[in-house]
Amino acid sequence: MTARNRHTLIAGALVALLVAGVVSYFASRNPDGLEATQVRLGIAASPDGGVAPPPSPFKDYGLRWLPAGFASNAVAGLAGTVLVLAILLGLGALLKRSRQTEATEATRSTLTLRSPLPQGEGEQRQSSRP
Amino acid sequence: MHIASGMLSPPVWGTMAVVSGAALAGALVAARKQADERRVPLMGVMGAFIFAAQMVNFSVPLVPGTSGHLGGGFLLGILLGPWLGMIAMASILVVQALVFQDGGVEALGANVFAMGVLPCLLGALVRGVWHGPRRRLAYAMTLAGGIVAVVAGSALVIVWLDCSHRIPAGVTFTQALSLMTVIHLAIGVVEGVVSVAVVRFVLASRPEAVWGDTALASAEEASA
Repeated sequence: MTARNRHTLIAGALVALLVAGVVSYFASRNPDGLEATQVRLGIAASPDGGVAPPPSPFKDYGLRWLPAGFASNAVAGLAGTVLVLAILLGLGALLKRSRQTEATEATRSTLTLRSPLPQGEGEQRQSSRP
Repeated sequence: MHIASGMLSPPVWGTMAVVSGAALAGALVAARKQADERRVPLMGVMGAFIFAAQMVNFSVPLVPGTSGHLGGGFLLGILLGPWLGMIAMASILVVQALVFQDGGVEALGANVFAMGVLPCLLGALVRGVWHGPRRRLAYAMTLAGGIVAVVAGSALVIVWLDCSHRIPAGVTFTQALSLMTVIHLAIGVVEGVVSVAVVRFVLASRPEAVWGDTALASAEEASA
């Protein structure tokens, strides 16, 4: 990974962690747009309910073992942010690997090097770089 | 705007699960061409940022007692393209439903469509027609597109609730639709403004990592 990509990753992750861990504590507690609409119009869930979610220590963005407050919200927010980041980097790595495998096979079968970009875009791309 | 458990009838959530599942399968195939060493880190941090930003509910302007939060799908559609954007939004929504019990498990397909597939496609559409150095026009389209994405998603939710027979007698479909879309019009303005700000920031710092970077990079150069 180049230094620039690593820098993006670290700086972006820090911003996300700050927002989830600290800023979110100051969020409005009012019902959101859909909840408010449902309350005002009397739209309720069906009595036979839906599919129950699996048990989780982070129900409603708080850690179950902590009293509701800054720490509980922060732990849940940080955990969720790290989880989403890990899932996406993992999925991205898998996609990247399958792309490379495909590219290797294509090169082997045709013995020609082709740009992975659509026609014409390659030239533009080069000219846009210093 | 996460649809909770028990709100949608099985035919409605089943249909949307199939539709969103098909869209995601297509996205996974198409995204293999997109996932390179610049875009994967951007997908990771933008996804983490949208998850975090969705925790920050703000008071809805002009609608007291109501809050809203960022959707983010439109923004991801612009920055990551439709395929990586959909994959990121679906991952966020799955984590929210399973770990934070935000949004019904059976409603995941519907939620992925309203907050992922639809806004990501709209974002990609805006990004796709965004050529040349006319940045003001591009940002105006981003603002407008953010509003349209949120309002369209919220309208879909009312259609699904109506198809699921959850709208009580005495409330017309039009009444439900107007209330929901008016609230989300206000939320959409915030979505549009935040989208413009984040797009500007990412374009200034990592233009080459943004989906379809070429047109944009030259636009930045032309106006510099």
